[in-house]
Amino acid sequence: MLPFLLLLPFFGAALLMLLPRERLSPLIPAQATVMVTLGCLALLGVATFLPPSLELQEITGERFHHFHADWMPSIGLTFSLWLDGPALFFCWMVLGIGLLIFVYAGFYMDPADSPWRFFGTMMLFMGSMLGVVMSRNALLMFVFWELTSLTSFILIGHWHHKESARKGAMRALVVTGLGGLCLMAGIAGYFWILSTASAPGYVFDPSTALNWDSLWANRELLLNHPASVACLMLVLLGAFTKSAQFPFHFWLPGAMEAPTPVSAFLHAATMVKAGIYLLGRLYPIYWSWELWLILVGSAGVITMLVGGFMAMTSRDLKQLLAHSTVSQLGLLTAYYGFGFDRAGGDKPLPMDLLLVLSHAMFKGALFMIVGVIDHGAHTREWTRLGGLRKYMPVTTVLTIVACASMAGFPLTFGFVAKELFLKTALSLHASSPLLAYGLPAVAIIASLFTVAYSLRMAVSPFFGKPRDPSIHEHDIYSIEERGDAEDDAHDGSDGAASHAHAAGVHEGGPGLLIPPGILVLACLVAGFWSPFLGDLLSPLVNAPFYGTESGFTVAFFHHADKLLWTAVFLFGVGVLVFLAGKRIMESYERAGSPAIFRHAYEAIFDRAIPSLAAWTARTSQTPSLRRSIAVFFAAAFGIVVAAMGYSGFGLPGAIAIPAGLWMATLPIALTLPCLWVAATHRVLLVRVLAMAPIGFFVAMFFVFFRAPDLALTQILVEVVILIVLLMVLFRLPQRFEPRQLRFDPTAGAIALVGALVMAALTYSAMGSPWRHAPTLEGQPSVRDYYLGNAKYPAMTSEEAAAIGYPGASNMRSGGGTNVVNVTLVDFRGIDTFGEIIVLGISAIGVLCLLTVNRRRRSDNWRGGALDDVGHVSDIVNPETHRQLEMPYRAWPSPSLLLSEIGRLAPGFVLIFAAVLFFAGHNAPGGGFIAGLMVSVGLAMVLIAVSWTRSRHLERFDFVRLIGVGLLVALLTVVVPELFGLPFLTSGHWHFHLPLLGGGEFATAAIFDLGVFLLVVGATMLVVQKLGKE
Amino acid sequence: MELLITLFVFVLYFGGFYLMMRRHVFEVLLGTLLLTHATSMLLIAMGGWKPEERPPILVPSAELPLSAYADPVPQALILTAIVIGFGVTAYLVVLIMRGNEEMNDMEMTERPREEDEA
Repeated sequence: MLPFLLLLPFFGAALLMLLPRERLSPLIPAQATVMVTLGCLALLGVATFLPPSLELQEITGERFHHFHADWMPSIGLTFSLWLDGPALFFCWMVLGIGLLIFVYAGFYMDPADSPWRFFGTMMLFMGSMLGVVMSRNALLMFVFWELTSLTSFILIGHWHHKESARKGAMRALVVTGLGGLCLMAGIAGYFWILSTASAPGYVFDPSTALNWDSLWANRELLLNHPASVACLMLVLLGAFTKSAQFPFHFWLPGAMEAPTPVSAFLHAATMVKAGIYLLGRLYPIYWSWELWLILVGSAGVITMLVGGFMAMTSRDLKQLLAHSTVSQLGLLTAYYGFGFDRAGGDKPLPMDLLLVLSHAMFKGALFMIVGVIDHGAHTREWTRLGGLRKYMPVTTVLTIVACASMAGFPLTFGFVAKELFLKTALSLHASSPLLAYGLPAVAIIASLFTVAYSLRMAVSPFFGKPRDPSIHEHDIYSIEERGDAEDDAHDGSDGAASHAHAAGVHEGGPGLLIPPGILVLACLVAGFWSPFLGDLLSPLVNAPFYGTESGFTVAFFHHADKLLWTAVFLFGVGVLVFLAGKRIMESYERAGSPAIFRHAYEAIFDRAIPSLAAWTARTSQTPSLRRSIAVFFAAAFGIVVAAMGYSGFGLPGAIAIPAGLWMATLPIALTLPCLWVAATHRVLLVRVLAMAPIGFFVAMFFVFFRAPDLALTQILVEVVILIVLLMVLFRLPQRFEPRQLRFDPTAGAIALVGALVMAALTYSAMGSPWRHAPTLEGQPSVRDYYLGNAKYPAMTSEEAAAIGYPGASNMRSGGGTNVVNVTLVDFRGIDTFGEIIVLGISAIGVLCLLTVNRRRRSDNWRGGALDDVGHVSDIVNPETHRQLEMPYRAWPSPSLLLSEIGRLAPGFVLIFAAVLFFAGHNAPGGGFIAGLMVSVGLAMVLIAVSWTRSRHLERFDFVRLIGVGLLVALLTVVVPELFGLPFLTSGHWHFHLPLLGGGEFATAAIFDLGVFLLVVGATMLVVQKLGKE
Repeated sequence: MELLITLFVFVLYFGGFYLMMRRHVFEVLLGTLLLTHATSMLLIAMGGWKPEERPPILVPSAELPLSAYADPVPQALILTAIVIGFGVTAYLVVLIMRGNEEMNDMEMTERPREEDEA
């Protein structure tokens, strides 16, 4: 049940991405989103009213729906969901308000304004938000937490053609993203504390340690650890950034660049509540800690004050609402702070969710109403509006009721919430009077602003005379005039608003009015029925952790006690502040907004970090590639020298050259002249030919090092490289100019130093004393593990011990005697898999270089003029296509001898390759070597035989071969997984083949077949395409 | 023998580094080829050199101790490195060819980046 509920929006979003957009009505996304939300609500309804699954919580005896699946249990991350009280409440709130806002958005958004992306992202967001509140595991919550940040980023930047929208989106992402990282660090801190803690009767279980209930159960451990303060602060940073608490409040007004439905849903009703939700989860752990009051309470009241003041001095109604949201979030935060109880007694925080619900209802409604005003009157600045009640009667009524709730006017839901807050604030006990009286005092001053800006919102746009008469004169009000207000700019992209523009000031349609109307009605109904609502919510209010309720009853209208009088008095003062509001605003604007924190943000993220990045790029990535290389070398040398200094300089024991190996001096002696020619000769071809022997000398050294596979591979690769180089060489200028041959002393000096360091490293490595040592006690070294396990599955532990194999008890077999090959296809198979992918990519890269964006090949390398046809679309350009199909012409009629040999030799080569391939598991050979061998053979055909006779080779689609090879390899990676075995698990059995002899067939050979096919495909693709040139 | 191997590595690295820093792109390509060789040698040297070691192909009947075989780990690493080296070389050489086609120039001219020009 729970995973379905959680995943339904994600499926919906995926569906929206996959549907054929061009052929469907642009109204589909909105409808689909509403349907998905209804589906979620149905599931949630079933989950709410169905008796929970039979799990008894040992801690509290509570029962609720839950779901568990392992993800990475060893690091504490499990896919654990539950529907406990707060989760249930938030799910209902997210889905309920989401439904109304989606309906509203369907009417608000212009169908031409990328509705697929918009509603798809909205659904992703809804799913992420459900994930945040349903996660029982704190780390899982973090995953969804980050998802909400990302989706919010996309939604704020919906009108990404506006710079302000991009900036706002980026700021929101950076602030909440950094906060999210802090949150993750804090959760990791919890895990660390719990994993290292010891207490009588305490058992650490990584898979459940980060569950909210177990965090609560082990709160003594969390509180008494020396690192607990750091953990709390990190987690709180996450909550504060998400909920726009001071001093991180500045991102929320910037996020108002989003379309109104986004602001209403994300930045008023749900996402910013995630931080509040987190505080609610933390509160039962920390409520007896005075630090909690100091951090949370003071952040809350300061945010209340700052947000309230900013709201009162905003001209734009949407900005006013944004700042008021900041202020109200501060109130919610402060409420949790005030829940502090030094006695640590049995005083639960009453009805925190009621406050959350109240705010979500009136603020969601108000944001939607601002959208209606924006649609109808084409501006959101109250300093220009006025007298709208004549034109928008319904909107006027809705706004007044919603604002009454926001101000906490009696008869509304907001009043109940405000009373709760005041009662808690006034009964605060703290060690210092500064806290006990100071914090509530600031909160009460802030609540004056609340009254003032609520009145501003309710009165200024609707009553009195229009402040700016031009907005009522239909024809004068033009787009040019609106252009001056940057905040209005998005109307230009909002087709519906532009369309309505001609009609002048008008009321919104029913689709725009009914959703906020329902919320406003709910504010009233919930106000009347608050006792009932209180009964409904009280079992949800974090009940599992608190035990009994405190006996606080929610009442619609308390008798005239001092709380009521306080509220009335505050309301009166608030009216006075409202009357002085405009003057305050104007003098504040004259003084200039300080916006310290936004400026600090901009100084760091818009200036300091970009200029640091630019400086790094300027100094290390200079315009000169050679300087870049030199910088890179210097860094690499530094690392190598440091590493050698760290691990010590080993000295090889024997320096003498054994008899019979004196011939090893030969390749070195021959390398020097080859190198000299390769570095200095003035003809390119000669240089390339001089390079080739060096590769063969390296192969000789591989023989000295007892590496037959390497020697074979090296020789074959050297041949293939030589073929490729020669094919390209014809298209390059052949001669070096004299100035290009001049010796470069700087390069020589750097190279000398570098080569000395590397030589010292080599020498030291050969003498390292720890080379053969076991890595850990009782564990074999990697070398011995591979050698010991390559073949002998049948070897008993005694036998293994007899040949000096330390890890005898931990045997697995690769089923082959060629340990190098077994290592490649079995022990390090996943590594090889990645490497063949790289090889395939480089071959396809060659293909792209040769076909994509190519100027017409009118023999420009022969000095012809360049035509400008080059665009990516050239692939389908028939002109270019025809040219690519042109017959080979690089090698005019090859000699008869060569062509005859070329016709016969490939057969032998292929047979030899087959032998190499099948022998590979037990003798030198294998997929890489056989693949290279086949490539050499086929390349010979391509070069030697007249082209007409090798049409099928010329036409063969080697890209497909690369794909097939990759697929075959992938199968052997994945199939064992289906049988519940680890990746690349190999089985093997005996077989007998005529001619090739008997042997053992390991399934790893199938992987090797994939390697083989890919190597052939990649190599031949390059040769084929180059040959076609 | 160790000194000899070291000398070989030194020569290869010196040539590789020097050519890498030249202006002519083809010299850079030859430099990368040399660096591939040099690094293969460095890696295999890390497995140590003992003349009495056998290739890492097990002889089931011989009941040899594991220390009789050469270290297979660097060999396996180098084998894939060589093949990838081929892929990279092929890509580079075609890149050079295309660069020459587009710009008719084989030198890495130190032209300023676009934003510096602006």
